[in-house]
Amino acid sequence: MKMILRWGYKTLTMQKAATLASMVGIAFSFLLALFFAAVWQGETQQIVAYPNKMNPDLWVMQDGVSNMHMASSFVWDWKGEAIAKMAGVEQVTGFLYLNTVIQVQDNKLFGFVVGLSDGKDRAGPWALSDGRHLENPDEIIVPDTLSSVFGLAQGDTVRIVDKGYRVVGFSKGTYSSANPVFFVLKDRLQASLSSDGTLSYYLVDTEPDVDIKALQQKIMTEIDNINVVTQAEFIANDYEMATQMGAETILIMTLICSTLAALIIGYACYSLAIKKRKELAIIKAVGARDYQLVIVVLLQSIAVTLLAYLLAINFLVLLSVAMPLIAPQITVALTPSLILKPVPLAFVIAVIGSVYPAIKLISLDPALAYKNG
Amino acid sequence: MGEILLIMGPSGSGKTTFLSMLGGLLSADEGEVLIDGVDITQLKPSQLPDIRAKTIGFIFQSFNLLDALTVEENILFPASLLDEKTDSVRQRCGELIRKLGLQDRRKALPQTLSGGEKQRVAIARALINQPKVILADEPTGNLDSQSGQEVMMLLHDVARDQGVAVLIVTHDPRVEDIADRILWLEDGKIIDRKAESHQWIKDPVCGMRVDEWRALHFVDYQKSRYAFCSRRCRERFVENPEKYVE
Repeated sequence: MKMILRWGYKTLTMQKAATLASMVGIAFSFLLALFFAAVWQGETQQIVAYPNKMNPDLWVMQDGVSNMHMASSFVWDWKGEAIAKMAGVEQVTGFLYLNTVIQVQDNKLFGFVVGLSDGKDRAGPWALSDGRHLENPDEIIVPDTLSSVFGLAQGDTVRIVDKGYRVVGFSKGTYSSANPVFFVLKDRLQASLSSDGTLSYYLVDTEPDVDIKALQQKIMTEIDNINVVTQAEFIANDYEMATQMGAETILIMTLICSTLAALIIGYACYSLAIKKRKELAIIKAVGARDYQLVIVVLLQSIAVTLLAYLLAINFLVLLSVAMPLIAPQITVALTPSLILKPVPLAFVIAVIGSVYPAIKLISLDPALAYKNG
Repeated sequence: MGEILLIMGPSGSGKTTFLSMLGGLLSADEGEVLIDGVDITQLKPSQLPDIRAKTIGFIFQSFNLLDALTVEENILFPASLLDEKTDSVRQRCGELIRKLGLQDRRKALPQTLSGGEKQRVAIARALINQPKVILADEPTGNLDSQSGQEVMMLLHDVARDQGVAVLIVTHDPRVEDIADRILWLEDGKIIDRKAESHQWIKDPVCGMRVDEWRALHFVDYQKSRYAFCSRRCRERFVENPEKYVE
């Protein structure tokens, strides 16, 4: 068996051009699926970037709401004040939140607008790449990616609902194509929404050594019509909402790319088997059993597929480095899970790809060895 | 001492098909193929690879070495399909390489070998599992006369020294010199004859040279025997013998 495996390996390495061409084809299929998943992963991470960075111990919002993405919430401000007075609560920061269409020059973007009580408060941008914090009601801080994508500069106007806002600062890490985050002062936004006396979410920071779960229960018991969730729960809810939106698309893309990869593998193995069918007939004639040849084809298929997969990962790493330069609005996120998760799928594709060549091998006539040429 | 048996006949007479059936590569519609007392026509298809690997050595006209493997690996290949101890196989391989004068080509790839060397590797490969019979299809067909002569002498030695039966399909009349028996296959019939010198006579109808011994078409006319290259010539002769007899 060792020698027949060596033959399988050497046959692959002898036909470098054909093997490489197959590998690149398969790698391209994997790359398509992986790139799409990595972009989606990056986008999803960015969707939850704001709540991730806020990182309070508890989130307070309207009853029936449990996340931020695509949600609306209104809570009376006196409820926030009541929470702030509870034992074990160190700080409560409320903010108004609106997801809406924002006009940036001639472009309309869907985005999150965060209305702050104070330009430097806890719910505001965590890092500015340029400009300053909010000081006046008609000012806005926008994601810095908009500067490179649309050429937006300080002093330009951005429209939200019925009002224009002047750009005074650019924030870092707040862009995603699904929901870039914009910061304004809350009073003008409240006027646009006719929502005086309400805020959307409250970030609750607790004192050291406070039992967060107990405090969560206490707030929910003492204050009506609100929902209180921990940071971990809030992120999980938001993440689930974000991934649900792309799950079907990713599944379809994965299926298409996997089928493409399986077809390329099948074609590559079949071409190799056809090209080497005289040798395969000789191998059968001198006493090899069908299962031994099937193992060779299967291992060849797995080897080519896994090498192609590694190649795709390398391409993906290069792309993730290049993307911020080529298209800064697209965030590519590479995680160990994203890279390792499709490996079993690659095995399955390799097996499927080797089925047809294996069937052809089993039916190959060993008497072909006597044919000349 | 093994017998050397030649299978000869015109092109298209079925020599290779016959050899394929003897080697268990094609199934026979009727009859028996006995190898070392085992009728291989009665075996299941799944049993044939084992029989081929253990009892039959194959030699082909176009050498049929595996391009990706070295000389040594090609020789060891059939042995690797069986569960034999590696040491004894390697020792046997070394002996074959020495006997066949391939010591310097042990690590060479087939594409770098001459035709004669390739056929010697093929012979070593056929012998590695110590088969009972070797089936050789035109072993000298792609070789120059000197290499062809060397290969025939090797097959001769294999039969004499190792007691292996050697069946050779060939067109090459020079091979007849080393054969113990010659089978002539034509029109689905096998004629068994001893290796003798040819008796060339002229077909009286078409004038072609015909081996009187091998010819299948005869007519006895006026106390003489006439041989013909084909049935057609024979029929023409029968229609009007005087026309062709001086």
